[in-house]
Amino acid sequence: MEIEKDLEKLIEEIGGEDFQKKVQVCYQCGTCVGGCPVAWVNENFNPRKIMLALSRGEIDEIINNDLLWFCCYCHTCLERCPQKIPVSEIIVKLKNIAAKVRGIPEGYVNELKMIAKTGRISSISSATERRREQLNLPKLVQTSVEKDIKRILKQTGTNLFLEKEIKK
Amino acid sequence: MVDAGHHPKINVLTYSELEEVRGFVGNFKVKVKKKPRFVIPEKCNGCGLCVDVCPIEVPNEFDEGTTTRKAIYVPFAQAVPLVYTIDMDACIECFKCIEACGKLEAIDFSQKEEIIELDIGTIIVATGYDIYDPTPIKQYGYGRYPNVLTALELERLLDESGPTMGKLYRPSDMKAPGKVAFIQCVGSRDDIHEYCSGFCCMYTIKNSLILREKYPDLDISIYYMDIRTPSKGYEEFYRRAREEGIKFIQGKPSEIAQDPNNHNLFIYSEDLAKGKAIRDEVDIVILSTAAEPRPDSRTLGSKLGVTSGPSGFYMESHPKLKPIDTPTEGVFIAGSSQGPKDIPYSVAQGSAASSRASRILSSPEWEIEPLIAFVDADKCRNVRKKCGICETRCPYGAIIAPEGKPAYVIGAKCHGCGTCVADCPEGAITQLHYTDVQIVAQIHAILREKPEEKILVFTCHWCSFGAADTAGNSHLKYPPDNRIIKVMCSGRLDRKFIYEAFRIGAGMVLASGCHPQDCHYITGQHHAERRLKAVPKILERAGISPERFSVKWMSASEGQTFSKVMKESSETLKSIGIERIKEENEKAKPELEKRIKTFREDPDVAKILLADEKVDIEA
Repeated sequence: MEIEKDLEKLIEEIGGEDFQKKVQVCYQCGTCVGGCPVAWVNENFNPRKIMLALSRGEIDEIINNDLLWFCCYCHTCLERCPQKIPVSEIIVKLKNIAAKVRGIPEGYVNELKMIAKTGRISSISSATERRREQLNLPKLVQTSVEKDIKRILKQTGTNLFLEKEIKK
Repeated sequence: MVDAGHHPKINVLTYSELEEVRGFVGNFKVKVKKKPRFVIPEKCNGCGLCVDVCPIEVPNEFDEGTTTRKAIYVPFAQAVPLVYTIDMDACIECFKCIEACGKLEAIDFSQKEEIIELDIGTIIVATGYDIYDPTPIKQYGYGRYPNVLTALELERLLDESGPTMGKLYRPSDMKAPGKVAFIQCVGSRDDIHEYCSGFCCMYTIKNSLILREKYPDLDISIYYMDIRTPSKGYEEFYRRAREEGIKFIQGKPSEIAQDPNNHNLFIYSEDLAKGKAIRDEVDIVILSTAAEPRPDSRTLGSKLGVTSGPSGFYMESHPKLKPIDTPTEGVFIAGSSQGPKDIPYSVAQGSAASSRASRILSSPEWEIEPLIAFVDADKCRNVRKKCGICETRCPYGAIIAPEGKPAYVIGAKCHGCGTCVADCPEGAITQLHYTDVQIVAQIHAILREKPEEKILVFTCHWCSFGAADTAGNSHLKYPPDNRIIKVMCSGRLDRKFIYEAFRIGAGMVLASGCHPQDCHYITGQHHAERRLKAVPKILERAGISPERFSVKWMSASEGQTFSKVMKESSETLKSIGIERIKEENEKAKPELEKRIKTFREDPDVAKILLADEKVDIEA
């Protein structure tokens, strides 16, 4: 039920009555897959099949599949789609639904923890700093975790995933 | 082509442009601009000595720029007429050609542009198409990677008398290729051109088979979204290509990359059958580029009164029934100027156009339907102030409203839709056989008895009347309370007819016509729709329930729709009830009376109105 409601909301967000014009016009040409850098690493990741399932209303199939989380938002598919379907942007929305329904994969939680702690996905290593110095790049600044990061996490609702994790 | 050049009754004007067309079917006055060739055709014997001495070389258009030509040239060996032309954009005026020509004295640098006037009976527009230049599709690298070719460039390379004598080489190093790939739908079926170019699947299969015949060991793949082979013998041809080992890979490539060292190409695509991303290394990639309208097609069209559709190709008068006709009688379209098409289809359409044209030319007089409109010059507003509404309503350019003068109809151009009649603010235009008098008389006859129990239906001749006909032929049942008045086009439906019907007590009025894209008069339905949009609000303000008036668009095959609409209307009529209808009509009368004021002013229409009122008083 929850998913169905989300699907309705998603359709509304993607363009309401224009959903058909924006998603169901997909004629399964595979341009998105041909240019997808993830499809090269993981041959099971296939944005075309995600669009196919979506246009047929099979949203649980997408959400229950962890492959959805492999998209890295390079937006090549969106750029090259001959029908101008915003594939990567739709995937963002699908991920949001999946996060609500099923939670987010462990790797993302770890990244979140790191961000909450340091403001970065990975810590600054001395090697990085040395390289930057050699290249005449400015030193990396420590972001204010308390002031900025926490606020961003709260406003985007991402902190909920952290809280869940802590409760566990 | 050569035969046409020699035919005593065919006059070929090449290197010429259409300047102006005036007049009408059978009587066109056409101005043609003949551009100067700087070579006198009668003196030139085509020996080509001038070409040998010309020092200027520019890319050869006929060879798609794969070779060069001189500033003095013939476009290609079989050109008609075989006369040289000097390209003044390239010529440096060294006059070496004059020396080479010698005693023939065929070269004349003093030639000027010339305008000639011709009396023409019929015109066929067969201006063809252009090929989309795929340079803007950056991910395919055309123009940057030497080994990415267009299909037309390949055609030149495969031509036995072409630049490579029919041999295929990699342009980067002139080596023989081991592997080639075709990519379909480049610039068509996408956001560049929405339409399918139609003939590319077949020419790609043809080219792949020519390559197979020439190079039996060549590895050939075709990347496609859908292979479209719908005509006679085409599917068999496709099967033959598969038998010959041509690889068909479903998937539109996302990108072509190039190895900078050896200019080998990498195609990144999905293989849909496998559901996997693939990378293919090939020597040559051939892009099957879209066909597109010629850049000047709209300017030419406006001179001829021929309209272009959203894709830019010329619009036929009706998508199914008038595929070669244009809004201007006596002007026909044929071939790819009307839309991308292959050779058999183009030949069929060209033959149809010429036979239609000769039908007109072979008769001393050309008959048209007697349904044309005419303007009452005394009533026309254009004399007093700038109006010209009628001119904008006519899709055929048959009405002309000169400034300060009354508008007039060119009878031979009028097709008789009546749109101008309904939209004339002064009621100055009349359509023969569909006059206001005739239509009002019909309304009155129909509504003479028990008008509040009747549904008055306006239909157009071609579609919604056809729908009613189909409903009858199919023995579909619907209540007998409707009465039909037929006009040629819904464009003729004056709002006053609807007000008059309600004024004299009609229960319901239904206006109908064709679906928006099906109008037999191109834009008549469009104007009707716009005009009728305001009616429900006006009726409501006058006190008439808006559900008592409706508009329905249907095609001639929609008998089911017609009977359904009639059933629904009948139910609505019953649910409102006669008492309420009578009440509403009584209340609305003064307002409606105001709206039909011009009917009162027309003595012939007023007579009908008065006659009925007299009967009422007597009763």
